[in-house]
Amino acid sequence: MSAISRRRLITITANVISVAAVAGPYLPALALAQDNRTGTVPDDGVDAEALATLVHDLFPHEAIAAEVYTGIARMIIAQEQGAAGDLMLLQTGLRQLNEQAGGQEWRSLDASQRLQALNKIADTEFFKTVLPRSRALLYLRPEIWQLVGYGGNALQQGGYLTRGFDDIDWLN
Amino acid sequence: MFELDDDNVAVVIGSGAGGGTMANQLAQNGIKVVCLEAGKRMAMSDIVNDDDVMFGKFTWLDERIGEAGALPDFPVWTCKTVGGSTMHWTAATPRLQAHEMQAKSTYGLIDGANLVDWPIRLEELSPYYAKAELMLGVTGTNGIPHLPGSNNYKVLEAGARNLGYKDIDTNNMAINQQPRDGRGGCLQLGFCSSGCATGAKWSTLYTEITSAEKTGNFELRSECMAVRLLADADNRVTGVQYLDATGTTRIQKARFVCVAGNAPETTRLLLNSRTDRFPEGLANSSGQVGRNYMRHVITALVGIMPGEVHFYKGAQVAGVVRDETRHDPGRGFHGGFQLHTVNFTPAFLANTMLPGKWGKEFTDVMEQYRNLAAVMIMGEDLPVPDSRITLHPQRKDQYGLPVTVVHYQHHSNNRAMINYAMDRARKMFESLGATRLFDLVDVFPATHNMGTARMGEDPATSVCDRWGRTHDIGNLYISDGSLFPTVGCENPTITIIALVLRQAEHILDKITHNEL
Repeated sequence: MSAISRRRLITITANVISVAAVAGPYLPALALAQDNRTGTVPDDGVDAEALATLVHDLFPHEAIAAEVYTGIARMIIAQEQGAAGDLMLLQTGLRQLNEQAGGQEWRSLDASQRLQALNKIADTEFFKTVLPRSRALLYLRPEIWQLVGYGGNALQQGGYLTRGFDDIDWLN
Repeated sequence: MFELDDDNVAVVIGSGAGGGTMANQLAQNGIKVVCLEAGKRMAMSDIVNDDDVMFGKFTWLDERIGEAGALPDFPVWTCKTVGGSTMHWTAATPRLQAHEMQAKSTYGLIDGANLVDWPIRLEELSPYYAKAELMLGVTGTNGIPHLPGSNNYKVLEAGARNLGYKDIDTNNMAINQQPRDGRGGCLQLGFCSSGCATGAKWSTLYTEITSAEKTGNFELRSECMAVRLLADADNRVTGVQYLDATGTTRIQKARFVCVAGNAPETTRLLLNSRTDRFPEGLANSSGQVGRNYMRHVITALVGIMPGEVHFYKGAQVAGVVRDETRHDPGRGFHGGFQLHTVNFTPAFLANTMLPGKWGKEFTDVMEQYRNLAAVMIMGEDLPVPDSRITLHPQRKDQYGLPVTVVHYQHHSNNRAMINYAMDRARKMFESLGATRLFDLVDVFPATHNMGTARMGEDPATSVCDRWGRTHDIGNLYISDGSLFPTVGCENPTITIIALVLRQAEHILDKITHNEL
């Protein structure tokens, strides 16, 4: 990542077009986050489970397993680790959510209460950062692609020439 | 292969549509060519049918700053790879129309627009369009059949017919249906803009570049970034200073130079090549280098249709409605626009289609991805002098070069066109029972970059002559979209190639007569 700063790439991919690139250039960092899933995660002070619940509530797909949302939360934490990162933003934001939860942990509230609290922090920098970041990462997940019906890389299957590229049946 | 101090070589900067074509034309005719390309060379196996992966592999991600109507962090979407933006293009190859090359005469004086007529007419370019179409194997020309229509095309066609449109087909495309000329046939993989894994889509990476290499007259130097053109007191370019893959500064001497870096890089190179005689940048005595930057009016409409479409299946832009490409000021704007098919990944849509939205109202829409259809509007953009590419006064990139600043100002004509065109697109989809529609306006980085070294007869108001040779420097040619005096509403690549084929003929003629 010499040609372009990590921060700048995050900005481009999350805020500008998405176009997706988030995964490609991040693979090393993301792989690290995956490897560290159990036990050896550096002490980042961020409640990954709460962040996963937040990602879910922002983009709730019933058919998507909780592990997928947890994976996204870990990727966001991984992106903020290191000198250029801002773990404090995540820590502060989750604390703000808890403050809206009337003395309980925000993530232990029921769905409608969580939503109420979430709406109250929708103007914070934390919310405005996590929203596009979660979105950019989540909609690159193969689980989501399968759910919404996107085929992804079709080369192995020989493309769509004989697999329905022209099979529309509802037009007159 | 060629020595750095060999001043008999031609140096071509860039290996995309303009540079790759020029290099091959010269090499085939016995001219020694060094091609400097900033990006890496990919193997065919590096091309995967995945937008997300390919974006990271071939996009020009060095810092550029957008101002005004340009996206701030990513104003232009160009490529940094051997093949340049022919890796990313959708391969639609419409010719310009005669009236679009006579824009000033046709449209008249328009406030705020620096309109001109091209110094050449369509008849002069037509033979080169024909040559280009044969070279690329364009569908709908030379007896090559049109591509079959995808679901997304069938939606476009049905909606267009409901509105009374007639000029509709699967477009002229530089995509092989059957294997041809060493390239594969189209498998309808989708997302042509991620690079074509079968080579069905024409790209210089596996056509012009490989052909040139077989001549023995051609040397590709990839990962070599041109930083400065060197000129002598006689207003001749003598060589090109560049940084090689190791970051070492080299100077390649040159008999003549063709610059084809795509408008942002071509502009930067000229502006960065100041001399005592050209304090504002080489070949910039007119002050026009970087000005009149045009990019096309680009918007899209996405609709949730009453049945499944699976619009990701199939060639991206293989479907066009041409009825609105005419000039008809009765519609409230000048110039015309195309309506063509387009498709998007879930990630792209998630990040652009529902700005600020989240929660169930967001996911309910995304879960209807199967039913989405999309149409893109591509309209004429008028030249505005202050739409301009400049160099940042302080910021430098990893090469030590000033960062490019892209300042784009919408002409009021754009909004009038967008309002009309989006209304037409909405009516098309509504006529088919679309349940929800989403506007994608002001979300696309520019992929067509044109006008910043315009051709013209008058050296005081243009950068290049009718051949694309700079007025100021006799052996310096511009060989990309920077040349366009106006842009019409057609995808620019085939016009770049036609201009370069014509330019190459001119250069070879000059060489034959010992004038270059």
